[in-house]
Amino acid sequence: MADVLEQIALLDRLTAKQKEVLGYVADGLTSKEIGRKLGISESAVNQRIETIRQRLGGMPRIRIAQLYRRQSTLLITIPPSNPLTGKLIQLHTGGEPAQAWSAEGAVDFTAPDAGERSGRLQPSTFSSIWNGPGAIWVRLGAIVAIAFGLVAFAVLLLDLIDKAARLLAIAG
Amino acid sequence: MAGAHPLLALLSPHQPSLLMLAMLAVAPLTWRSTGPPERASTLTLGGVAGLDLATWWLADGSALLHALTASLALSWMVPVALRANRFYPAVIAAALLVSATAQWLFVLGQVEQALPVELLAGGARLVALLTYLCGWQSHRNFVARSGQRPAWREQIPFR
Repeated sequence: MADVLEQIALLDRLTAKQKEVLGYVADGLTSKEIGRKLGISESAVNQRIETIRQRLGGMPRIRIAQLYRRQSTLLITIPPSNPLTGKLIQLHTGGEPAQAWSAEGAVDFTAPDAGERSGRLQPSTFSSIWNGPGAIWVRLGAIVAIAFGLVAFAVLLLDLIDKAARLLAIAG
Repeated sequence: MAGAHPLLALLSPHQPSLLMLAMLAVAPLTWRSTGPPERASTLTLGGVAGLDLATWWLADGSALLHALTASLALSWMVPVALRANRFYPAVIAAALLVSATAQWLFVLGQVEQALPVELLAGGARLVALLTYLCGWQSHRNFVARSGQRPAWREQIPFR
């Protein structure tokens, strides 16, 4: 968690232009689309993204986008009678437990549509298994299982071809 | 099995066939703008076809050499499949495993008929080739969508 908070702190230190590009990256836009929106070339967009990546220790683009969405906050004005008055309420887009992100004096809530909005770049169940902790064994198992599947399919196919050939020979 | 003979001209891994030519052609066609798993795959497919052609031409189609070639391709592809964060190298590795196993069974005398072995090995390579083309297309789509090449592997401990 400390690492994530450090990375989020690094995001805060980015320039306004870099944050602007990052916002679009987090929205899932391609470099070309971002370039069109900002009126700059695609290579300039890629240059900015590359600078951001370097600042964040070479983190992949997709991970930076996820991080940016996590640290996005929404400030809400609360009437004076409410006990939450004066506290910063942060609505996070990530799937982490809300309180884990709480800074001192701030109350956190997970945005209701967080999963939906961030779902596009969230790793799927398949991806989390395929790239998870036991990935090598999962992959090895998959190779063997697929091989068995291919053999079974081939045996069936060869049998089918053989029968078809016999039928043709009889008909001929 | 007599009806399967015409398939050999298309699929045979032990004599010049359409599949061999296709496997040789993928490398120059798909090399550009691809990542390490794609290049490893295309080298494997092109290399195995080239070595099989050389075996057919120089060594009179020695079954042992063909089996060794298939094993070499498998030993090259499995580590790639274990490390790459893509699914298709695993399918290619599985297809090569089938191809190599079938050929070794023939060399060791466990299978007497050459034709089923040829068809099984050739069919497996056809699957590998088609899988590679799908994976390559998927890679191209990713690059077009994100504007950058994807990382080719996650931080997986590999010892």
